[in-house]
Amino acid sequence: MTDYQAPRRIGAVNWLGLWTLYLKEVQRFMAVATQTVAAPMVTTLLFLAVFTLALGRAVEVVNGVPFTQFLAPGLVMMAMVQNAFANTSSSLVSSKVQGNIVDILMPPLSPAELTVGIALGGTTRGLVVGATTLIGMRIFVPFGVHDLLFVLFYAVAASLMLALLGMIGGVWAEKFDHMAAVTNFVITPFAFLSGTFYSIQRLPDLFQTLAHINPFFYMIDGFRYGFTGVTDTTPLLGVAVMLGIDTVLALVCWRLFAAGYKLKA
Amino acid sequence: MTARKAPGRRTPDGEPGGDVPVSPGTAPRGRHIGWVNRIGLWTLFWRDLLRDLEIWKVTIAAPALQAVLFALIFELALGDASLTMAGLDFAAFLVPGLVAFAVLERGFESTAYMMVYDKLEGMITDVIGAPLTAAEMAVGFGLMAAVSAVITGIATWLALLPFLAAPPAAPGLLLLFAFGGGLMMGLVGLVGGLWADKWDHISAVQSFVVIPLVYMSGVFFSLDRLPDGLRAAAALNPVYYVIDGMRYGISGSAEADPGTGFAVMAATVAALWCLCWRLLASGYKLKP
Repeated sequence: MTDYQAPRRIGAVNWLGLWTLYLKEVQRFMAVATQTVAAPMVTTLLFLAVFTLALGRAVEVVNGVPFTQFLAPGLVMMAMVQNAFANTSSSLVSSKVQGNIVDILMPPLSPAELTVGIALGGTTRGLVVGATTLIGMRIFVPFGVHDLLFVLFYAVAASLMLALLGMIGGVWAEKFDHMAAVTNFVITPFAFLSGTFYSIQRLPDLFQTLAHINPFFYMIDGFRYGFTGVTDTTPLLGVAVMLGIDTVLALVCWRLFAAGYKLKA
Repeated sequence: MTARKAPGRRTPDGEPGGDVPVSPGTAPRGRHIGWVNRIGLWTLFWRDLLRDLEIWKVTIAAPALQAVLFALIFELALGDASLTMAGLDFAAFLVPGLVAFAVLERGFESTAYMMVYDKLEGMITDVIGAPLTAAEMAVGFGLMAAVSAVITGIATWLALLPFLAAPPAAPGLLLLFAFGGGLMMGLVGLVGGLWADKWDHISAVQSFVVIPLVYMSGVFFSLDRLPDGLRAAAALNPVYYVIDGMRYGISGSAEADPGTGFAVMAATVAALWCLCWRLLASGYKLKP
């Protein structure tokens, strides 16, 4: 009689592995929640205070919505996307630099499972930061919800998009400098200039046209529509844009992992 | 010529022992250091300033770009509405605030991140082991932060020229307040860096103390926008005087008297410097 332990049978999806990877990604940021959740909330509330105190008297209404109620959803979306991006990109870059990337390359996880597990970890960070910031903001700004479905859709779709972008950036970057450059010179400008603080109708014609091919514009505008019911475009167009971009980015991540780009020799 | 057996040395044949030539005329002597170790001070200053300049994308370009982004956002959010703040056109109010913010934040980061990095990597022994007194270290670190902050401030001011195309109203005072502000925050960063045991600690100090303090001290709005209680507190806030003084230097108008501002800034710098000097002398969190 031998009592060899039979190998674990893995079906079409390695659920145990996927769940473990997801938990690792979530616990990684929850372990330093003051830095990853509380700090973004404080920074976002500061932005609200600064903009309200500086411009509150001069700019009372934007697109028929009181300035603070216009600003609040935009700021929450900005915090969500910056943190979703930071989570996946920093996770991959630090794993690569420290060498513990093998811990996710060696286990029986397919490229698709890697993509899903890491992306959902980043999405969770975005949603946790978004929810915390929203609660903090509700204390100061009396906003209501116009359409909860839009709020939830855009919160998830936008966090997912930036989580996927962070993965692509994280796979590409070879050191922390590369990642800091992408964050400082690409992600932050897009998050700042795509309508968080103003209606794009303020922009010159050329930039208004450009805004319509900028996914950051659709996510901020659509998320705001969920709260205020006012939009610079049609909300359903935004839904289509977000779904399309998330799908394309997920496919890119999947191919990058499958090819082992900058990950496997 | 005298000779002695040196333990650990080997003769040309590989045998233990061997002679170490020692003669009074040729043996190296200790460098004579006067009241101030000038070479050491200069080396410390340069070493850390070069570390900041080497990563200029993070220390110079990123703060300048951030300031441009803020200026753009405020201009676009303001749109056609006109706004004067403390008697200044809004752009003339905002640009000095943004330059001051860049200076103050760089001053803090310069010493804070350097100190935490050196502690975590063990490189801090290079400084502690060198023949530098605590006072010399406090001077070297502080001056390094001030110069780094002024360089970032100049780059930020240049980047913001499209928003406020005018030469500084009082360049001398501007430099004085920028240098003093960078020095002040550099010393704050030094205290924070000495206290912090890991990155989490120093980024908590930055997120929860330094940035809120600077943001609410008149970078973006004049103090008459604040509720009464906060306004009284702001009058005691040295960061406010630095920002206000730099605004006087760039735009020629200030809320407070620049003389008072300078006195508050100088007193704060002196107090912080004494604190740093005592912390370094006592070896707080540096020596067992």
